[in-house]
Amino acid sequence: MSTPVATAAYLIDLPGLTPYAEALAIMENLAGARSQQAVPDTLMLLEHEPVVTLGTRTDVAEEVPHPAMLEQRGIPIVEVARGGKATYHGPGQLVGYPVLDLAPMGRDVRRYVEVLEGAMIDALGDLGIEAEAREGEEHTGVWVEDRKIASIGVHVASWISTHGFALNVDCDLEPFDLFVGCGLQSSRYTTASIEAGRSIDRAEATTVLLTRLGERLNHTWEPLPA
Amino acid sequence: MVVASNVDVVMPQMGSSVTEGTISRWLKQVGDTVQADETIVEISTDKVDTEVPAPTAGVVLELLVAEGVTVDVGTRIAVLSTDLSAKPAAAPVAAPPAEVAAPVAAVAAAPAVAERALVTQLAATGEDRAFVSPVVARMVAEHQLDITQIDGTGRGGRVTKKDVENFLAAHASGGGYAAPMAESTAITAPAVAPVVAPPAHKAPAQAPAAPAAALPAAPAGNGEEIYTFSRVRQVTAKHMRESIETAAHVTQVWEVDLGRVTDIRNRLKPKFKNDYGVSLSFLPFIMRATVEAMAAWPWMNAEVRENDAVIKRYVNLGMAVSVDDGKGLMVPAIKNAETLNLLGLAQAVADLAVRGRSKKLTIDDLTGGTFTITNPGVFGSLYGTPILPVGQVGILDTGAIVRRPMVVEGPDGSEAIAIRPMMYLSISYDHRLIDGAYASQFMAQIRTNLQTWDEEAYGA
Repeated sequence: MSTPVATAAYLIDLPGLTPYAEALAIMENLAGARSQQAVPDTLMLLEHEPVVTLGTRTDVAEEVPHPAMLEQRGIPIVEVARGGKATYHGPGQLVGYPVLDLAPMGRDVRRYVEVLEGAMIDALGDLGIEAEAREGEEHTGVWVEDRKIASIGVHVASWISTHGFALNVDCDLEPFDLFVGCGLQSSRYTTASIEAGRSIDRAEATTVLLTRLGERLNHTWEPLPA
Repeated sequence: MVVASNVDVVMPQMGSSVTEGTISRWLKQVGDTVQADETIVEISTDKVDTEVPAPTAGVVLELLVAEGVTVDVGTRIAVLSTDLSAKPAAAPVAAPPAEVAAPVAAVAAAPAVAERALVTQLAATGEDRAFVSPVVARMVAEHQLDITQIDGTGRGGRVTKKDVENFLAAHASGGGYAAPMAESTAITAPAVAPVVAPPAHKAPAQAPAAPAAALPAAPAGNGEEIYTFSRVRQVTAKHMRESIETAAHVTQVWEVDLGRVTDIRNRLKPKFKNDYGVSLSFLPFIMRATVEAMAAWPWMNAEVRENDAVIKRYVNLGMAVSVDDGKGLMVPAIKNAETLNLLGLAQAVADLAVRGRSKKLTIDDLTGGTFTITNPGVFGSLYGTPILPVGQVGILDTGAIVRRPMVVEGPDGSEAIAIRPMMYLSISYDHRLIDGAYASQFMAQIRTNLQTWDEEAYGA
């Protein structure tokens, strides 16, 4: 079987730190445009300003019992229309929001998640880090041994994907100790820099990730036309 | 109702590898009308939330599966009628069927060990070499291990480096890897010799969820039990350390005669119950007296930010609530407590208590507190020296109300001993901002407010 020709997809690589609400607005606009076929598959890459996001069904008393510690650090707590547990985003974490039409992928949400996991595992491999996906709902994301290096949370509407993944490249892990979230303390998280034993920056992580995600999705990335 | 116009909504196929989904949220209720392609339900699988559109325009007749329940792909989950005038039958709410929920829980809890072992075997026989990484292959060769004996915890039962390390550690320490320790909180039988953590085992300290051969945690001795901190406990612990390492804690204790407040409470209780359906405890009285005292001593309602103190003109009154059978703590706050009279405070306390129990508190409830009252006196404690919530400079602790013989003064100045309902009130304050004289005058004001309770001003 011959490999199909790679299709062009847009890349929106937002420089600096993006406030959560701003990224969300862009993502939702993109999802609307994608469902109308007005844009091709598009990947947003960004780093968030520090933020803790809550799912719609988050039990706050259970997951964020002492939000004052976050308030003290100026970390806002934002409710998001998504499932899942509370989580932290911040500088040094490469966040990807692929806004994709999942129809060509057979509307297979599991396969899509495996694409994201696989791309991150391959990209980490390129950085010399042996990562893997683990089984079980409490083990979502990508792990290096028993340390979580990337989180995944996807929303699908009309078979258009939103939200996506967060890869810890070189970020402060302490905020994970300030709330319960998905139940791991900071020592159970890790970053690419820690695992590689050298400083890995966003540009380096972006390069390998785009390559590997492009392979898995059979996409080439080009900047969104102005 | 026209039977032919009924349309089933089924758990959709979300890919060949997805066999079941969990109803996470119904966006439509029985009797609601929906447009074709309008989202009717949100389904969650592992890491994905999927919005499922209605297959047709119509009226929701039945919701067959409750939120939180997992069902197989293809299962009927709702019934729509294309007849827009259709009336739903009675008993609209789908109760979670126990027989559906139970097997789901079992599946979630037990990562089918037998299946995994089988997959592991396949990997070892070379039917799918992708299951074993080069690192693992090298370790297996180096230690001359039979990989089929190693329990794989990776995807599809893949044996990971960690699994090999655990296997080696189990054998090095003499622990039977075939009989993994059931759970970390178990009371451990007294060991003849303490289990020595194997030196090769470099896992960071944690409680492994996977079948682990050896636990690095300290073993429990005879008559001891290990409680591994829950994450709520860990976060609470961090909060307490953070507060005590930041604020300069000082505590002072006061004594208040609650005779007048007791009389008023006894008189108001039936009225509050009958007219407003709220039970009147002493707490709203203490709250009202405290908020009132802040008008004169506003620094008690402040936040220290490095070299600044932010004095707040609004009072978000935190109320310490124990959760999880006393193993956790949260402090929801009554917003703008300065605008509430006694009834308003009683209702706010009841509201937070009810929503706390039913897990309906929002992040808004738990944030923005400016001063806190903790109430361990209900258990009989006389007074305490509480730790300040992070970001606040005052926390008031109410002790038990105890009837004591007190020296009282008659109108003519004569003294006598009388039985009075007495309560200790203690306050911890942040000495970085607040000095003892300031805190004392604040407390004196609270005592005065309680002992000379002004029904007109404080609301009744």
